[in-house]
Amino acid sequence: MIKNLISNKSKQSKFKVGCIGLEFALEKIYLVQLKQSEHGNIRLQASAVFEYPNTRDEFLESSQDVKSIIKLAKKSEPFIGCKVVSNLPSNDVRLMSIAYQVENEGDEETALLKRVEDRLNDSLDGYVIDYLPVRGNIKSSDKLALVALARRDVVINYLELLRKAGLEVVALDISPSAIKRLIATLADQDQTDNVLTINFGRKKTYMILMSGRRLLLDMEIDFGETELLEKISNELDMDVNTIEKIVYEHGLYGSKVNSDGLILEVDEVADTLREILKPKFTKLADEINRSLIYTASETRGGTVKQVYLLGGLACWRGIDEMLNRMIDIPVTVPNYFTTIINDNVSKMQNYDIPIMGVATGLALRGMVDHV
Amino acid sequence: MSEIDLIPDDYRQYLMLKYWLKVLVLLVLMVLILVFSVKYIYSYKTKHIQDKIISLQQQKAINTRQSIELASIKEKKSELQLQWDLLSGLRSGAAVESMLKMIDRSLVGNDVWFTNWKFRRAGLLVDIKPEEVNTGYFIVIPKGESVSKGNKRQVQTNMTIKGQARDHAALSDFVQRLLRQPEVYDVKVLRTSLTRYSMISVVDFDVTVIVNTLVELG
Repeated sequence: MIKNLISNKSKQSKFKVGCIGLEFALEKIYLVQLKQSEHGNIRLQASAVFEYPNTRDEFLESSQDVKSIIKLAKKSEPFIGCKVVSNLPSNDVRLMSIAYQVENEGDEETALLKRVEDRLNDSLDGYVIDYLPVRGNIKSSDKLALVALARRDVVINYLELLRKAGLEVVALDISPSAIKRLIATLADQDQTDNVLTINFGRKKTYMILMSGRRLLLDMEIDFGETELLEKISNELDMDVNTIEKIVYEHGLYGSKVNSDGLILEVDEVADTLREILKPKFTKLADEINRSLIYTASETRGGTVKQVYLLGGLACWRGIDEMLNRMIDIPVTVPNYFTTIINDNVSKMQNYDIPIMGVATGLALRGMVDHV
Repeated sequence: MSEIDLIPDDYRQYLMLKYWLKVLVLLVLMVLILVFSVKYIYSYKTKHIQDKIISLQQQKAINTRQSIELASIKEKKSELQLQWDLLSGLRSGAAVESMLKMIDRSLVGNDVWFTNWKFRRAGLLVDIKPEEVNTGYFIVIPKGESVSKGNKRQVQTNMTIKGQARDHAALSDFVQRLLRQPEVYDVKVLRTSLTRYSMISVVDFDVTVIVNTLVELG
């Protein structure tokens, strides 16, 4: 037994455990911790999902509540350490693409801040700002950056909340960066490939456009799971919870087809749901097309090679197929836990996988060097 | 490639400062604990050593007192021993009968006669005087013999004999015979005088015979 323990210990010690990726999403808390072998292989150390006892805003007012959730997570899953990489809740951080011109070398930051100030129409004194260069041709004075902006007091309160909960915040990231990191690791695409990731939230959806490993665009659109469920609920005159169960049971494409494409068994419920939601998805497709145009403009005519779906709607069976038929680009719901992490995730429900993308991306910070 | 991080630099510095302050406080605490521990151990050791010193001093005082007592006891013992020796000497001294016999052995013929005879045990111990050898002009002290003859002393036992001898030769012979007796330690001729009568002259003499009563001192 002692021999086994020593053997397990030596096996364990070959892995370097990363920070805990911690996301306070609108309805749930996601925690993911990864570990990396000496050869760079990434494995899942622990993951957990918790629902808020009340609302997110109420929950984030008490460091004791956060502490108890962390304690519970550590008790139920083998989380190690207290270092976390987290992100501010989406309503507390503002992301904007800022185009700016640099006339003299070394004035880049000043020029960018000036443009941000102009856009914000407010002094930047009470804000914390960081940015990612999106377009940065040395020869050209025209530059583009993705700027993250948050009120300083909000940031400090959030950091203090986590600190008081016994956590050490290594970095305060943003969701698009986390998703970019995840997708870049997942796709292992060519440096020039353009990839669009759609992260469906409960009320909002975020379209993250990447060119190679560069973040080109993060766009927020009014499209979410709640809106779609309410639409079906209104059409069918049923309550939202029942609709949610039906959707998860039938999906949007439930018909069984054979290898030749012939329909063997028709799922009328799925067909009905799809018909109801088609106008909404058409709007989404329009937004996707707009982002494709943007991609072409920013990458000298480049096209998007792949669309990845993450978030709550990505769990709806057949959504990838539906979108695939609306836009002529391969659409996939990535099972990154299998692809990247290549680990036994039997403990985790498949349902949780697409919605843990941000937490996983946060957990990947510091483990992958290309993002 | 750079990454976005919204943690303000001053907040990081504040946390870092807090962390180092904590470390500093901890270090100070550790140093204080160490100093107090060392001080406590030192005082404990010092007290221990002082206790030991006091104990040794007490022991030394006891030893000194005991050695003084011992010396006093030894002194007492030697005194007692002396008295014991004296008593032994007195008890085991030459018997009167043997004295008479010894005198008798020394007398030859009728050339020496006694007019008065005293036998006295003084009850005092006296040092033995070195034996002198009379070689005429010089008195030679035999080689190798200590002046006091070691620890040997004798009980002063004297016989004072007053008498008359036919002549000096008879007296000398008598003295020589006395000296040859084992019971006799020494013979001192105190006085001689010639007394003339009408027909004859005799030698009056006073002789002290020191009886050999050697006492071994303990």
